[in-house]
Amino acid sequence: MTTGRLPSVEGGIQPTIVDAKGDLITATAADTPARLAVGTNGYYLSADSTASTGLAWASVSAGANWSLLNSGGTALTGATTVTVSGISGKDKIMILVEGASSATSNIDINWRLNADTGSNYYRYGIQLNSPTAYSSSSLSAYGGSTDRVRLGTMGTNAAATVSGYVLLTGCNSSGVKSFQSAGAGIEGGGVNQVMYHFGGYYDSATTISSISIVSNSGNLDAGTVFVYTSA
Amino acid sequence: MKITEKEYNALTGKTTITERDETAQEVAEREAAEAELVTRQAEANAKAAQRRAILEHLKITEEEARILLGGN
Repeated sequence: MTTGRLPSVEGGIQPTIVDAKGDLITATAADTPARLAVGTNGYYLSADSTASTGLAWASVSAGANWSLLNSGGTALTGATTVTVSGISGKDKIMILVEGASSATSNIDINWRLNADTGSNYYRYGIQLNSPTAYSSSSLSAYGGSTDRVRLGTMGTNAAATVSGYVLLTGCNSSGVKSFQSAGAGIEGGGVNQVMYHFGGYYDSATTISSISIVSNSGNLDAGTVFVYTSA
Repeated sequence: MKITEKEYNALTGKTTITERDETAQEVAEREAAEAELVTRQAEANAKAAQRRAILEHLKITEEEARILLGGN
């Protein structure tokens, strides 16, 4: 059995420093403990060099609202590519395409970012063809990269159109941008319209400054694109 | 073939339209798309003709065939 002196206790924090449930023991300087009362429900503790303890309770900031960037939308007419540019400092972009059509029937309507024609769009998902009768070959899967992302394919008639949406996040970052994209063509009295539903990412370090709607062949001759952004 | 591009700049509110020649890649893509369209239309026409021939052979209408097959 070992015998000896108990070590002396020097400068210990007294229990009286805390007064209430949730109190935290912090410091205002070297060797200077201090009490920090619990914050409001739902608040989080953040570093704050202006506070005496270097800490402060803060509220979670509310999500940013969506706002329409191109008031009234931009007409999808008179060009094979219609671009909405001037996007800056926005992390989320939502693209809504309504009734897009090309002068050539049965054409793919696609989207691109920053006018980038490289194979930097990695999309994964499904294609659903709409022939006169459904068969096992009507449904197919996509994976890997492409130089544009299909939103939909018009049916084999000039009256056919394509509608759909794209939701992009990470647009103001230097990393990849993730997206969800879905759209479909209507028959317009024809057949062979196609629906696509993809998720994936755009592999580029450049922040997004523009979006484009692209016809595979022939000028766009109907429809509107709406571009919403959020911080 | 000329390519027309339209750009709406949300910062300035201005729309610009430019025209340029197709790149070699765009020519190839357009021709491939047009060839695919011809194929699709030929397939669609052939299927429609086949369908009409079957209906004629069975002496039933399009609507009767739909009911028979349980489709909408």
